[in-house]
Amino acid sequence: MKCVSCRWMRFRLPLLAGGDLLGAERRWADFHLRACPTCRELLASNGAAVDALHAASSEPAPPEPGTLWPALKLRISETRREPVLRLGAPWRRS
Amino acid sequence: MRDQSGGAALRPDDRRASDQVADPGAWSLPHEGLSDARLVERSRLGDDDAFGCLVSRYERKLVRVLTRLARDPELARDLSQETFWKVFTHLDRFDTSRRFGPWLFQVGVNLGLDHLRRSRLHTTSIDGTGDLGLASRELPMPDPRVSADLAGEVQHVLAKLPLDLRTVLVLRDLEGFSSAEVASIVKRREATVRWRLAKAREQFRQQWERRQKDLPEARQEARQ
Repeated sequence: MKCVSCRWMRFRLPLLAGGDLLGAERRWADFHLRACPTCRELLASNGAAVDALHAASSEPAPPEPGTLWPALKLRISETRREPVLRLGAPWRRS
Repeated sequence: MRDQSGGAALRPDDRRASDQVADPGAWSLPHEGLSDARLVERSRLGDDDAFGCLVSRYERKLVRVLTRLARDPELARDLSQETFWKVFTHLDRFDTSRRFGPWLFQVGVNLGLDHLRRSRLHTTSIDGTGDLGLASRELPMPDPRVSADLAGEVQHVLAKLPLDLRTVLVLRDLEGFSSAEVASIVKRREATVRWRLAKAREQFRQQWERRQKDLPEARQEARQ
């Protein structure tokens, strides 16, 4: 098992806390943490911050003022009408 | 085939259908079961309700992401509207073998970031501050008594992070996109996204702990 330094570990703690450290790096990190109480403490602190982010993500969104579709549909239909008029104009003029 | 205005070419029957805007919020139920790729194909053929179904599927999430980035719900709705419009006018360029969601969010997030960067440049020219300066200029320090809820607290701390780090954090930790999807949305390599994610979480943690330490004191003062 590769021994990694606290410095190597510190940069990866935020990734580990969010479940983004995988494969060999994850194994090296777990190995290091078993022997390093300081990094374990920092991991707990990182975990609390990530938990706050995740908890905020699951909070219900405030009610929205309505769908965007009516205004978009109107814009689409207006744009489609324009070329018909432009194409028709020269014929009518002649 | 497209007309010069960017709208999809229409068959006569489709044009009549698209002119019926009396009930603009409604689309026929059969669209609901279709995949995004099928809806894109039908939209290209002039089926507006198919595009309406795509809007219905993604608008809440898009508005939420842009609100979290821009910290302004009205601006987020305007940017979302522009995003859907841009996507609609570029549907012919979309490769239906790819996923529609990440493409839509790529367009939306980039529109949002462009807008925020332009605002930042404008702000910088006025007072010489960077991104952090913009945060404190646009969004005055909220009274902790008012923003006591968790989401408000998280939003306040997020606002202190630089824009590129905030974007990655919002997409990965608040919206649950995978690292690969975030990389595709922000048009960066996955390794770059992971590096930014580590940095963003670390900065968030430091700010979050500082804020949590200050909050009880502020609440105590408020009670007295």
